[in-house]
Amino acid sequence: MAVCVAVITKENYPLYISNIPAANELKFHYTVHTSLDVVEEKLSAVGKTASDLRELYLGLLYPTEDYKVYGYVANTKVKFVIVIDSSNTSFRDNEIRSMFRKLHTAYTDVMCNPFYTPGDPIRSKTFDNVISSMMMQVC
Amino acid sequence: MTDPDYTQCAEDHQCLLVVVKPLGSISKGNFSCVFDKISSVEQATLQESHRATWIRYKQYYPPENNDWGDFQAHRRVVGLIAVAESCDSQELSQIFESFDGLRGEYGTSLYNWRMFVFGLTGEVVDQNRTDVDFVSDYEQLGGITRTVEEFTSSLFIVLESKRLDRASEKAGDKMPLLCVPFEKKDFVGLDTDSRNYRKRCQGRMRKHVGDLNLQAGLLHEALVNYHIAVETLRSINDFLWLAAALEGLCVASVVSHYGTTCRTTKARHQGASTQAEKEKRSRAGMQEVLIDPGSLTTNGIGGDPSLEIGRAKNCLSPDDIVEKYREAISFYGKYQQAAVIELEACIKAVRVLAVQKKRSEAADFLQNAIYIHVDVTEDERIQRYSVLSELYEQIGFRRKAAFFKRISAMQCVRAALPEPGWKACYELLLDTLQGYNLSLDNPQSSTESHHGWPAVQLRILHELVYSSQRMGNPALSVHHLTFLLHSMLDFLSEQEKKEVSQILEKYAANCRGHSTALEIREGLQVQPIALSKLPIIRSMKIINLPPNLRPVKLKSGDGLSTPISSSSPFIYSPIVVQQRREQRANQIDFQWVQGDVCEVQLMVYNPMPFELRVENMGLITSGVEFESLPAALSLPAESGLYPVTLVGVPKIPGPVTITGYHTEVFGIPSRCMLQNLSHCKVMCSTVDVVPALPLTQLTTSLPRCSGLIAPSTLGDVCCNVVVRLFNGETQKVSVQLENIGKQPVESIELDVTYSQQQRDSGTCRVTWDTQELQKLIPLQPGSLVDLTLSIHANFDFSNTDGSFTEMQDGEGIVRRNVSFLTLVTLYNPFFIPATWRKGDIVVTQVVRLSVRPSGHQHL
Repeated sequence: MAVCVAVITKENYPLYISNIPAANELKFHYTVHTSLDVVEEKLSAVGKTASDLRELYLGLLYPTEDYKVYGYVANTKVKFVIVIDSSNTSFRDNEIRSMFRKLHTAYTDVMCNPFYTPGDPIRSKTFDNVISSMMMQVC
Repeated sequence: MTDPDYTQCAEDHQCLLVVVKPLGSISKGNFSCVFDKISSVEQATLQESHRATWIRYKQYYPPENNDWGDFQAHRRVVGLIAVAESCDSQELSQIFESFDGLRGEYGTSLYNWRMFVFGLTGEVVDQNRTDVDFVSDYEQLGGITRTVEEFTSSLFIVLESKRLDRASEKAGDKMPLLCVPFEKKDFVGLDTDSRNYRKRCQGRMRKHVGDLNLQAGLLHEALVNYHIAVETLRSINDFLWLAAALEGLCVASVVSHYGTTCRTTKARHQGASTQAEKEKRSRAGMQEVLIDPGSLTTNGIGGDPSLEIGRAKNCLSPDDIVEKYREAISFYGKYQQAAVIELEACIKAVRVLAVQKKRSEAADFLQNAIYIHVDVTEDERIQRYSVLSELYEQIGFRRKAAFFKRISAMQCVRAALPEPGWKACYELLLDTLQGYNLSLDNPQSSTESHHGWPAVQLRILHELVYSSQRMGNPALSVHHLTFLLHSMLDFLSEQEKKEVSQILEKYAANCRGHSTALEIREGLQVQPIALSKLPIIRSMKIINLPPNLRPVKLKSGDGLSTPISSSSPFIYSPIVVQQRREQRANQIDFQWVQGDVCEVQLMVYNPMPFELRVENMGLITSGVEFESLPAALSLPAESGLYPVTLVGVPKIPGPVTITGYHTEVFGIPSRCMLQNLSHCKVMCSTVDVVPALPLTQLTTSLPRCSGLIAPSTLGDVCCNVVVRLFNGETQKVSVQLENIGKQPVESIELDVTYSQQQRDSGTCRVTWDTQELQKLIPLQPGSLVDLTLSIHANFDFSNTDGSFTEMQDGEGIVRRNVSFLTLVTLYNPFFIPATWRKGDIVVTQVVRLSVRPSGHQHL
């Protein structure tokens, strides 16, 4: 079950972070912030080999004791990070990929909103609903 | 083995370990001098061959670690140097005793030992101990170097002999089983003749020989030996030693690929590990050094090309190095007691990978290293996290490095510590700021997009403030809190804004904010922060003086009718030079007067959710001297644009430029420069100040009129007085002229303006005596003179339409009425600057008297 979802711009500041449970938010802030290092590393590494055929799904960024952190980068360098509880081992790679795809489409919907300025924090209810459905789908 | 050595790198495997210890009453400074001198001997050579071995020196090494010397040869202490200072012979015998005790601690692993005794002169030199050197004073450190070189050569000789001993053992001989300390009891009572056992012995011995070869500088042989050991041990599944052999293989390959260029810089920084000491090692980048076959003349392989082949055959490729390290560490992981070895291996691997620039693998290794549970004391946790953070920094993972630095800072001040190290905590936190994208030098303005994570940055800033407060440096904590308030203003909630401002006020009450650059630590200075958001200034405008005080330029003295501009030689020119519109719009076409109170208007906005009290708000100017009179104001919560007027008095004539303003909010003084404010609109900020002009005041004893007639021009200060005259009457009106300024009045001109009606009908005349007027000037400051005006009324009753009304009384008699004239005199009762002499242009302010009738008549 996803415990934290974050959307990060290409300047590496967060547009949206939400987590369940709502307590201990700062810890997730820290986790996502440090995982950016790994994301950047992967981006720069792959960029050397084939610049156009880059895969969007980055996979497991790093495991910690309690959590696993997965990353996904869109072509506009917008990063999505999902933190998953390690106790839930039944998550397969495909399921994570589908979660990211849903996240990506929800994000593009937010972008399509003509009243939304890129760079502002995301405050859309639809987006919130999609996220909470992802976070509570195994409950 | 209890404490891991975080400073190890892969090249340490080829070094001989020598321990240098102080004895007796030697002082720390002296000892470190001597230690530096000793450590400068890093290589030991033999006379006959050109090989060299490396030496590393440590000041503290627990004897238990020595027991692992069989496992990995570089862990064994092979040399002991003691440094002592003594003044008399009793102490000397004590020192000798302690030296022997030390030797005993390290047991049989020592190849050789030496002692240096300082401070004794001639009388006890005839000791019969050959291993003790007496040096008379600290100036003769050169001799020590020579002794140490001899000492290290002797170590090398012993090493060589051991190596040759071991290498010459044949495979069939009975050899002892090398063990690690926790394994010893496992092998009691085991059958010593089984094939398994013999293979185990052989494998372990091979690995040991490989170690010795590596130390002796024979890379090729070391590689061969390691390969054999790996084969042997893999077949019998002796995991611990297999892992050690793999690690040795990796190390040898690393050395042969990259050389040992980092040795010299590293050795100098090895010293006693103190609490929270951050070892700033600036390594020269290790490049891949291809070993020239011609230069390697090991005995046995004398520079022939077969070395190159041998190297290619046995040496691992860089990718293989990573693989083997991974394998080795996973094998180490099977043994709980080998946790320290595992940790050190991880750290070494990370260093190697950092050089190879394989960052993600290095991150994997480091991640693994975090989870190895080593039983460390509280003090060492700090060092552990510091080292982790440094390694992350080397890989280039800045954020993780900042994260771990913060953790180690928190460890410094844990509650369980008897004496929390707030200063160390503060220093560590300062270093984390860069990783979180915070820069103390320039707080970002709100218009740019904020870089970084607000929640995390807020947390770090709060911790910085708290630790600097506890550290006992209130100026720093005030500065940091100001920084927090200024740069994070947009991200604080309302509650937080209130809290932060209250705390800031409390701190600032104890220690006012600084106004010059503050030095945080060596080499790092911060400028005081300009709180330009509290309040926000939206626009600034320079206001002209009130109309009655404005200086007016007069034409030059002879009063030509055509205006001649003094700068151009042309009398008439069809070309009219026009100033450009926008220039004219931006220039100010009025002047300020020296000595007068001049105003600047600012529109301010208060962004805080509570009432903001601003004290001591004034202008900062450049140009001539300008004395700014401070104002205090109190702005309601989150209120819109307020006009605020700041006043000042220019003291010297010349151009004045408004460059900024200063305020004091929450007890913190701040100076904001207008050029730094991007959200503030300024039309023009330079005004000319003209020299002081005299001020005059007119008063009269005539009764005032109750506001019947509006002033003729807007802004004129006027005072309406009434004089009643009969037709044909002349009345003398006395007006007092007082010079209330500081300059003498040099000329007075009186000019009377009649309204249109009166001009036509010529009903009223105001005259005065010009001679009398001339006698009045110059009017000194403070003097009061009388001016007499005579007013003569002359109404023409022949023209009766509309100027007065007929009134009829009850009898219907139309009478000829007597009309009264009301005389309204307008003049400025306040300050009038009268002359301004600048070159040949004379400026005079006129006293304007304007006369109007009122069609007023009554019986």
